[in-house]
Amino acid sequence: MRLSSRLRLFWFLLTLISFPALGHTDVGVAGGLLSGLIHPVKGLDHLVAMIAVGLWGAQLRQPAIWLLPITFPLVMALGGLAGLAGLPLPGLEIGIAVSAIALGLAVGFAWRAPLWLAGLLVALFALFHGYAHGRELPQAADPLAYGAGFVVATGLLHLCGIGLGALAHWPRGAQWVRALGAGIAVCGGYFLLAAAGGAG
Amino acid sequence: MNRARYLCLFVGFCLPSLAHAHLVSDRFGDFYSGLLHPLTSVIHLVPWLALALGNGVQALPQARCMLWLFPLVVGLGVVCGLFMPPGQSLEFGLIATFGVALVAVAGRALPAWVWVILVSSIGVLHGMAHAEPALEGRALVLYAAGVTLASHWVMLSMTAIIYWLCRRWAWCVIGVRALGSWILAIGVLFGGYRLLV
Repeated sequence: MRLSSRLRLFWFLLTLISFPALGHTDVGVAGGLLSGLIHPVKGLDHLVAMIAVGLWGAQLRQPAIWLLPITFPLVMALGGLAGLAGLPLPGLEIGIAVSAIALGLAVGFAWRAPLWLAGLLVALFALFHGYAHGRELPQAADPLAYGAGFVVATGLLHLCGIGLGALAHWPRGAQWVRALGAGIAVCGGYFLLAAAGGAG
Repeated sequence: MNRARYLCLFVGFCLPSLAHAHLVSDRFGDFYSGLLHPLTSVIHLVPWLALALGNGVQALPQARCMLWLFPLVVGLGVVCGLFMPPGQSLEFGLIATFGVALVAVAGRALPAWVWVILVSSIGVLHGMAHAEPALEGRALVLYAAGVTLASHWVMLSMTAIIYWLCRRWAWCVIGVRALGSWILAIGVLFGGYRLLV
């Protein structure tokens, strides 16, 4: 069967004006899990901060390499509770932006902070990120699946940061890691400006 | 084959009917129903995984003991649940069982009696929750056997994997702690949602 060029053009135009079929709508457990998994990845402010936690942990090595990524989701959940309860947390966006700046600078300068201080800082920033997630939780299709999705995504982003931070074992790799940290701090600066602009 | 036969074959493929080789709704249907219920429900599966993670870091005699104790108390819970009125407190009890992930986060073995009490109470609670779906007119023994087998299968497979990995590579204990922290965080968020929203 040979189609004329006009018919082909007509078919091509039809494909351009097609509507999504919505065969798989984001409902139920699968929808909640998927939206939870995607949420931290879609938000660049969350993404860079979580990767920075992994990077910093890798730079600080044992036991920070696992203690920081364990602290983050636990305290993030407490922040999520505060968000669910509707407790006020002023300067939420600024706090998230500052987390990217501070963690990015810590990686950029390869800051050898004491373990307690590193844990405290990560916990403080996790509160802001968790609060933001908690405020968005009630709209989820399935709250348990949504929570599971974004906690797993957060953990995997930490793991991604740890993987990248493993480059720090080589001299040239250590420079790359520090450059990544500087890049994250710059992103944080942009988020801060955007948050300040939004607040103003 | 000529074109007409191909067409007939194609149309035949487009109009299949169910073979009914496995009649789930007959005979052992209630067994399969019990088997699949905990495996297809996040609220049951996630705390069971946390329990298995915790069991993987226990001393070998305790871990072994739990492999038969847990299914037993789950089965007992299913039977008990039939005589208990369904209530919201059961759901809060289930949410509280996410707290067992703390054992995995700590990555330490507990005293045997503490572990037995913990496992028994969690097993009974989950068993009672499994009895909630309408069991009227169903074969209780088959359903309870299905739930019990599912609990045994999850515990046995997960505990074996974790125990084996943790005894060979030290970093696996870190993985267990990280997974435990994830489950705990999920539990805190879900519990908060149920309580506060």
